[in-house]
Amino acid sequence: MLIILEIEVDRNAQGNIYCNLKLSPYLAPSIILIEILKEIVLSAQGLQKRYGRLIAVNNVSLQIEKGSIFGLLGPNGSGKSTTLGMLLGVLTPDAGSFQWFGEGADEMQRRKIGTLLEGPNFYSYLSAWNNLKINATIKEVPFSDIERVLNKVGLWERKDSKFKTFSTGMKQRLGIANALLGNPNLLILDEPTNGLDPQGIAEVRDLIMQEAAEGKTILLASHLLDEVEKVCTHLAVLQKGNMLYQGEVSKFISGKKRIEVSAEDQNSLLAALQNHPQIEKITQQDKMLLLEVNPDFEIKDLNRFLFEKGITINHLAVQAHALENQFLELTSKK
Amino acid sequence: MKKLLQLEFIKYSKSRAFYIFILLFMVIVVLLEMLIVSLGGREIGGKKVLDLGFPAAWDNLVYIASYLNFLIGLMVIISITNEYQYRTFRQHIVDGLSKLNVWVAKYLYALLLVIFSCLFVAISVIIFGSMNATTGTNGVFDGIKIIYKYFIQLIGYVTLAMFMSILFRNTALAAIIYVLYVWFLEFLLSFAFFHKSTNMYIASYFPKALFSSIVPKPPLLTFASNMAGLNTNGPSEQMTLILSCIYILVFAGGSYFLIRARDL
Repeated sequence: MLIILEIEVDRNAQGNIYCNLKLSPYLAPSIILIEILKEIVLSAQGLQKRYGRLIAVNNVSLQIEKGSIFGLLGPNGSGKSTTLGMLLGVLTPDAGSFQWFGEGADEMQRRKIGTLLEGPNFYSYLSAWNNLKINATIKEVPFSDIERVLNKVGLWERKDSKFKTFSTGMKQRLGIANALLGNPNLLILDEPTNGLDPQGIAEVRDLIMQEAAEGKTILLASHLLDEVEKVCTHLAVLQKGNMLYQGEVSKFISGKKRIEVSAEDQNSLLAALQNHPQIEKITQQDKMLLLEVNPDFEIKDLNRFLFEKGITINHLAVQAHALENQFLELTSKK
Repeated sequence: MKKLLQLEFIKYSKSRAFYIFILLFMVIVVLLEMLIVSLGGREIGGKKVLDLGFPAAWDNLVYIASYLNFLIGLMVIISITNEYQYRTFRQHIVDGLSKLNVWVAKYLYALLLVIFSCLFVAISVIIFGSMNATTGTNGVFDGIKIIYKYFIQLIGYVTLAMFMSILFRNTALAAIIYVLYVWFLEFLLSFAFFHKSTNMYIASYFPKALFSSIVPKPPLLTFASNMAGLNTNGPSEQMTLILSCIYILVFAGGSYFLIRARDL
């Protein structure tokens, strides 16, 4: 049955592409409007920042879609915070431009963003409540929202304690509460799990997933690959101020599958695997062999193959931390 | 504007350091005025040393209070440099203030301190003057005009303090340089000029010299410093005001320019 008669593609004032589908008369005598392309929350072009002779950020362009969890990944000193500093008005870029929500780059846009940038910055002599009142005043959010965010990070009972009496983890959680204030649709979290214990890390991760599930866009800067791999849909990799990759996490990892295998008799294992058509590369890693294989090559195929060759293995697994390996490979090229 | 005042209110209404400084200022003002009253009230040869009736009480007591201008300047320095050290200026920008907002908020804070000082000093003069005036409370407000001068003088001191705190960003550095400057650094500079040109003409156009001469020395003190050979042929009263206002504009504009131009 033919349904679609005509498609009209148009752009609205915000630059979003709309598609008008005119349906066949006996199905629905109307025109429905479907947003087919994602809204762009941030677009930055050619950002650059120098400190003397050091280029901290070199020609970085970013595009973040609404609803994505965007990981900004890089080792310490790779330019993550400098990039965010420029996007958030505290550092002046030497070159480049950016726009939030397709609207502009000034404080009116920043009020719609919840941010934790380079650790929590609060007045040590003020209570948690009063510290959050400051941001609530800036963002013109009712003070009643402070209770919600303090509950969310588990600090409501400590609302009247002074910031200086907080532990590192509590300070960090107050920073996250500050970012959640006003329920913004975009969260920017710079190393949000810094200083947290394993349980705290898991809680913050859950919190990020929750916010994402509500349809929020999240920009997460981190040097923890594991963190990015667990929560992000998109990522950009920075090294020494240069952008090495930008795109979906799944595409970043895919195409590579690594299998760890080890046997009592390492030599015959190596000999057996050396000419296997599905195995592209073999590297020795500690007491294991690391195989780079075709994505459709299953672990059971390898098991069967080795069994037929009469080799008994004592370890066989698809390597976890796929992102980490991909990341290390990418950053070591430079 | 209301929002910026609200922000400053949240910050300082709970700050112990703020109240300690305010209290310190009030106590020292009262002590200094009591000192002047008790010294000036003595009679030498059947005549009082200082005229503490109105309007002279205004000139004498406001002049003494103006010795504490540096304390108000210090309060401004501490408040601004703390914002740098706590990185809260940065946080405000990130959360959604502009750099102009941040600057205006701090200037409003400084202005409120100035207004408070003027009110407090005016009230203390009225009380001490009334207690000592032979004419009772007649003509209490004769001579209140000097409060306007005191106001402009304080604006000069706080604007200079604001400029230095934004320039140096560090509490200790800014506070030490500021206090040394207003106490004697500029005076030392002027001393150098004094020797070269045998008068202090150029030195009296320095910012602190101009600001401090807005509230004129009362006649008795002028006489004393004449004896010490320290008096100068500075600019006229009107010129002092005009030049001071120019300095105020330069320091205010300069501090905003620094905030705007530099990274946080």
